[in-house]
Amino acid sequence: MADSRIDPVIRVAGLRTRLGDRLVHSNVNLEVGRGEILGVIGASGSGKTALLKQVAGLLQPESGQAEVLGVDVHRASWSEARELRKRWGILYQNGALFSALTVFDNVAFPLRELARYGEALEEDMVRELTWLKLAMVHFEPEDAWKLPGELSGGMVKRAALARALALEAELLFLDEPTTGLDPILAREFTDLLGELRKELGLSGLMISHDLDALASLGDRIAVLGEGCILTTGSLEEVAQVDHPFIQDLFTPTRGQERMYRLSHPGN
Amino acid sequence: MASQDPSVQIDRDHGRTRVRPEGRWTLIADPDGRQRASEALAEIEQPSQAEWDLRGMEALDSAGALLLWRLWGKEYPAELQCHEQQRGYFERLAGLAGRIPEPPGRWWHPLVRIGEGLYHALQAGGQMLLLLGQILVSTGYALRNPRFLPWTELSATIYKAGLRSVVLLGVINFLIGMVMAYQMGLEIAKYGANTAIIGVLSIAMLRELGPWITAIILAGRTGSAITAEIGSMHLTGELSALRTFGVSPVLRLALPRVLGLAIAMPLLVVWADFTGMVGGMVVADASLGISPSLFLERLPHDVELVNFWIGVAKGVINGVIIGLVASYYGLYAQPSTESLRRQTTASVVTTLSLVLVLDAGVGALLAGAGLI
Repeated sequence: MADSRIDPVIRVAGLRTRLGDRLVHSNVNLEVGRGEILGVIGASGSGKTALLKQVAGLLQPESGQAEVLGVDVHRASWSEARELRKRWGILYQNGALFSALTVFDNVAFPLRELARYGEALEEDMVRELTWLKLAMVHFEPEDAWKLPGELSGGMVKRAALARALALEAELLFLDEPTTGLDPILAREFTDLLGELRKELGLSGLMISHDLDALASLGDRIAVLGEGCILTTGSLEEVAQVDHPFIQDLFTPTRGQERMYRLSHPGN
Repeated sequence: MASQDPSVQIDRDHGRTRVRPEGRWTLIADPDGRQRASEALAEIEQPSQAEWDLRGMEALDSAGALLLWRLWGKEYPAELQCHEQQRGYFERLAGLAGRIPEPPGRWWHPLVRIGEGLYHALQAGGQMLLLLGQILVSTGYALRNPRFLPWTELSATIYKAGLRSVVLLGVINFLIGMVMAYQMGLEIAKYGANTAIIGVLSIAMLRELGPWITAIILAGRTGSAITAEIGSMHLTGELSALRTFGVSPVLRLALPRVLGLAIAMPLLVVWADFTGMVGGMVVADASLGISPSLFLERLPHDVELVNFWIGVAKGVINGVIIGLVASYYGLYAQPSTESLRRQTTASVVTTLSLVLVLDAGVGALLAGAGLI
């Protein structure tokens, strides 16, 4: 686990989480370096989303600590926590767009909220920045006045990404970014994330089971199971680990097998 | 951190201006930085004619990029040198030119608003009648095919709307009975006609107050709940799931609620009548000297039984209205929180208006028929 990176953006140490009666994490340790995206995989119910919530300060741990961008998330003062929240963006699994607001107003929301802290941007600046963010995620301007209920799955994800990036986040939390998208849209969205990540120098913590997303975005993969991180490494390294869940995850799907046979008629 | 503040180096030679912004141009949540950057940029004459070199910047965010882009008159300056990453912002800004659509306009003229309101009211009325028709057809179908009757939902509605309202309704009606008896008693006692309280209170309670209070409580307690419940099924996609299984939402969701309320409401009206009159009796005993035994002895002479049945019938009608209107607003909701809020409000308001209009209408009809 000892990583030689000097400047970790996320450092989780000895994290212990209890949800109700269930001990979800007994001892989780992990680090994410600057500019790195760490993919987290694990069986259903292994506490992946709980880990994300812990690191994002949405859930209080029983013990241990989570440090993000040098600040202890659970012991930060109110103003420290606010400064911190401006520097990260969270992409929720189902988008979590505000259903009463149009896409445009959803993306403008974090920008407009700045006014409450005396950091107001003029409204026409907010408007142009919102258009810029929407352009960054390839959102068609004509669709910006739609309500989230009228969007397709791919559009919801892209709008949510634009909102997560509205305040120029340097760190992204990605909760199953490609879940619910068809394979083509999933690949497009993965490419988009990769493109923005390179351009904006983003770091990230990504929960995903999409091998394609893990392969193209995850610099390292951490496997969560039995309450702690079982192993960390590149996708290839992790695939070698002898653990039933990992072996299941990396077994080629029937579709992949048949496609392989199609291109290698000898086998 | 002063060295990191946004600043601009300007070199002028032979009529050419070279501009080199320096420092951190991460301005999105930094009003001081924006101020400082704007001031520094204001010193440049003809900024779009200058040569720009952005490579000395420590950092640039979209707000910083936008500031420059606006300074350049929303096009590339005469010469621009920058990193690939910085160019990304300007390319997107350039790509947006002429593509930004106007927000959809809305008419605020009062005449338009009135027309819109009227149109929506008529539309809602038509759709409600349609739903009533569908419920009647569904009822007929379910009666011929009893296996299709949603018994579970029906009993759940009777339990949730009926039994769970008993305490609240009882307490409120008891108090209203007391208040009414006290207020009427003050007037009646002036004429020494103390025993008149029995007839006055009972007729008011049986014919109007019982059904009316029950309707108010149930519209607020159950009507809004039904609208919110069915409406949120749009958000979760449950309505589509029901249809996928060949289950009609009207038959499975609306019918048991309308029917359940039509069964529970008259029973609740009887309970409301009872508690209200007990409240009245208590006050009549205390302030007018009419003992409960006298009250009960005079009751059959002063009050015709038909008053009781009119109240019960109103209960049935009100139950149908509450169930119908609440289901309608739930089924016709849009999948958004804003729509849910609007529909729930509309459900309660419409229910109460309809109950009142029908109440007055039935009153006038009965008076016309001589059934005072």
